[in-house]
Amino acid sequence: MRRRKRMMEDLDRDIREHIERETQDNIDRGTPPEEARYAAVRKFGNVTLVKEETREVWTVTWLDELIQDVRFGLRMLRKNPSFAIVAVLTLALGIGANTAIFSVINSILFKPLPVQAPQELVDVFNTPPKDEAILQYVPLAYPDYLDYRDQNTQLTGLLAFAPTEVALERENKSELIPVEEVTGNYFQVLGLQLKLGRGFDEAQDRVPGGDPAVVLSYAAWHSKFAGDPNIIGKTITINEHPMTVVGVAPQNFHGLMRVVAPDLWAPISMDSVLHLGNPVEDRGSQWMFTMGRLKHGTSLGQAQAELQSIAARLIRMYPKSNKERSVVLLSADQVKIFPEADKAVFAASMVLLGFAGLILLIACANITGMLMARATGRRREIAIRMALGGGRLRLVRQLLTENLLLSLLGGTSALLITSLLNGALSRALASFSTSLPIGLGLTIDIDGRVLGFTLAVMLGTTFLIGLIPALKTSTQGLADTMKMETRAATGTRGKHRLLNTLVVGQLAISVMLLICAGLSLRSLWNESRVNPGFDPANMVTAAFNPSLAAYNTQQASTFYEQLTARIQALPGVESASDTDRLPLTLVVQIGSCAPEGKENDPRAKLSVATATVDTNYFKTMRIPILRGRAFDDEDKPKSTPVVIVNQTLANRFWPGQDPIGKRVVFGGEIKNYYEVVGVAVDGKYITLGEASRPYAYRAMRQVEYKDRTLVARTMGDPQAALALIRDVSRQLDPKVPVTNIETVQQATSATLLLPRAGGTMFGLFGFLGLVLASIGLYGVFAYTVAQRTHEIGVRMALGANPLDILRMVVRRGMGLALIGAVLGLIGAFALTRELSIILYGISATDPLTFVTVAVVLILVAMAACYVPARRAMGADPMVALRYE
Amino acid sequence: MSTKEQKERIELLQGTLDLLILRTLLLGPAHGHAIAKAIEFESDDVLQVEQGSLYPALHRLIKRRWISFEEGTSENNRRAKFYRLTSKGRRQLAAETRKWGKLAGAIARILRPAEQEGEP
Repeated sequence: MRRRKRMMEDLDRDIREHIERETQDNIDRGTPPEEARYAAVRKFGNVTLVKEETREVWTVTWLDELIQDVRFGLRMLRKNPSFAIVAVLTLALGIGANTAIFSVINSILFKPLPVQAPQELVDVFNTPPKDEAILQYVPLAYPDYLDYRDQNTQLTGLLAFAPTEVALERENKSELIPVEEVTGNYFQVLGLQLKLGRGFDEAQDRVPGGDPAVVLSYAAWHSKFAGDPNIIGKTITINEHPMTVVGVAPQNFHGLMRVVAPDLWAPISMDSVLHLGNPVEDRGSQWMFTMGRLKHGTSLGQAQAELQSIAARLIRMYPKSNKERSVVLLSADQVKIFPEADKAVFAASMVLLGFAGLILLIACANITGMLMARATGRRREIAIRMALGGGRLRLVRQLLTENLLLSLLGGTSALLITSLLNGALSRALASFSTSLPIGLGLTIDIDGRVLGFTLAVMLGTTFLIGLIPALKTSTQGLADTMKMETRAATGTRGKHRLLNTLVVGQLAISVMLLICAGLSLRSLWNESRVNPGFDPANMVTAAFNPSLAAYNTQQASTFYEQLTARIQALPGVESASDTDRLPLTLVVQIGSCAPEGKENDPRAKLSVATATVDTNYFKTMRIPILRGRAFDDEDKPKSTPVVIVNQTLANRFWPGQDPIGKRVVFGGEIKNYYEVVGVAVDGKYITLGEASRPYAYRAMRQVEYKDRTLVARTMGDPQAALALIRDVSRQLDPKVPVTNIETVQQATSATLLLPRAGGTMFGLFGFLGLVLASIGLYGVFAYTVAQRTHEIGVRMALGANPLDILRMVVRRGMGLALIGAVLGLIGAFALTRELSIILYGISATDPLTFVTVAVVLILVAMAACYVPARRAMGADPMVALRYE
Repeated sequence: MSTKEQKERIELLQGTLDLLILRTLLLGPAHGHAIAKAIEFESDDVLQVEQGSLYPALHRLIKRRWISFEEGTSENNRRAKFYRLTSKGRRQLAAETRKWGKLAGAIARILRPAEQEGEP
């Protein structure tokens, strides 16, 4: 480029010189000066045109050649449309798998927060005293937050937020929705341009009830208020309290924790309404996530040092609550969900990308195989071009251009697939989040990063698929190729060694993928058949939140007494009870528990999951009581605290002894003993795959939670009861929010969510791999059979049985399939060990899965080479011989 | 340029100009104007190059590395580019000349019978 510029600059001078010389010549010949110059210019011709043409000399060539290459490539693809279609589809699937996975990962891990200057934002966490550290990073107490906010000089703003749930009343129904309680400066500090309306009034933060306002999320505005354009200023009812909608957030803003999205934001001045249960003025309650914006030119280290000095001052002022409490700053783009959870998210993402990469590898091997087959077919063309003086580099470039075209077409289709997939995924997430207590919000789309990633994958693919065939073809000897007429006689075995290696390789990879899929599917099947320790069939459940309707404990207890009585009286309902939580719903309470007499022995303490249940619970859930009794009406608030333990807990605390009458303490409740009155059968409590764990039930009459979950057993189909629950509750009090009305089977399937998602993922990958590998196998076989048409013709002409021909071709395919399967099995044997932690009730080297996958693969491989073999068998010897 | 002039002269076939330049430079380095003059002179003015078209051709040859150039001063102390044949160019000239000879011979053989027919 520089050379061209210099040459062009010189040209002006050269032309001037030339014309002057010619003028001088003319004058020397006696032409009058003015005419001499005119003649010289005329003789020179059109100066502009000359310059233009010279410039073209320097510019056009490479572009010209590229256009030529592209044209030629397109012509080659058009000439062989079936190859083009299969290749583009294969690449679309291979690249698409990567793009789709990456676009999800991108939305979680890489997309910056959609706020003003996100690089200036920092997450502020407290670090707890070292000996108490379960978590390395903890949220802040509100008074601490205020001190940090008001005393620092390095931040332009510091905001805080805390996720919670509230009851939203709409059309006479209450529903529980995820919300965030935020400081009044939330939207200002983020510099967020709201879709509609405004943010909160910061001045009211310290005035309880001062700013009864909410900002709706875009999604909630649409799903709950039909996108009402006049929503601003309207009043909605939250936890029985009127609140005014003052704003709607932009569509791509889902809050500051990625993945977890609130339906609305409400200011901290309304804490009493939001019932978060976290005393705002207590330095001991650390519940607010905090984010600050660095001043221009301030480093994270400077800001952290300043906040740490404030923290040190707070330790001196409040030695009791702030003991050893320090503060740490993390760049906001480093924190995705929560520092502790991010590592797992990152690891999972990389595993998924790794699998997608394997799929792409199979796809590439496919294309390489097909290209090599074609390249062999094109050897004569290439030899002719080389004989005519085509440069080797130019030839390689030509072939690479063709591959680039393929990748481009494949990549474009992949992006198309991904954008469709992303739409479906976003919808699935949205519908999914209605069945979970948390909101999910992700903007999954194709942005610059996804495009860049796809482009990189495409370029990598181009070189991967193209380089081997291109190099191989262009280095083949000319003479060798010119003598191609003899190819039928020389046989094909040696020539296709590389091709065979590719086929074997991709078969091996798909065996590994399929085995992973098979194992996780079987594990899923096992889990779904596990006995959970209760009978989930024909049961319904619903959650009630009288606390959000301002009930006190006594009112709540009366409410549940009436509720269970009325539900139990419904036709078709066998029995009903209530509990604070259902097992297998991801909602757990785990605390330490110790037997009497060993309260101070850390080795005797167990970490025990607990539930609080009412009298009819064991009967309703059909949980057998092995010894002692279930709770009854005599277990009152003032009577002896009682507990029912499961077999595992009984055996751990009192091996070989009768647990009835023994006593335990929970957590820090010193001298508050619970007497064991019964032993319940072991069950599954957190996941179906878990090993037996200690569990304890406390009596609802003695603990008295306000918010409980109802369970009812029906005699037949539970659907009728489902429809009636809300009516019964509304007759009692329409103000009490009822949520999660569903069958117990639905409710407890939440624990299957992750294994199910994993199984589906692996299953999809395995299936995709198998499809791609069989396309590859088919392609290679179709090609080799076509290459041997001549040989087959000769054999048939000499009287070979068509069946022998079929056998001959299929046998070669089977040989490859067997080698691939064996290598894949060996690879899987080494690989699946890593899977064993997520597998339940099945060995990581389960022989049945291994054998099934191998057999499936061989059957598919057989089908893939049967079709071309069949075609060869049916070939007319005369046609075959005339093939040349 | 008038039409009359064009009729009397032979238009250059594409690539021929390149050949003529290479041939001219075989005698030694020369600047652009001198090359144009030489071509005109040696062909008795039959092949008259539109002098401007020399330059794209020169650049093309430089790019193909068949000629090189250097800055120098000409007879009347003017700065000018002197073009020089490279060894690659020399080989190319030999090859092109052979090809040209063959082509000219072939065309001559094809055209001769027509000429004879034309004459009574």
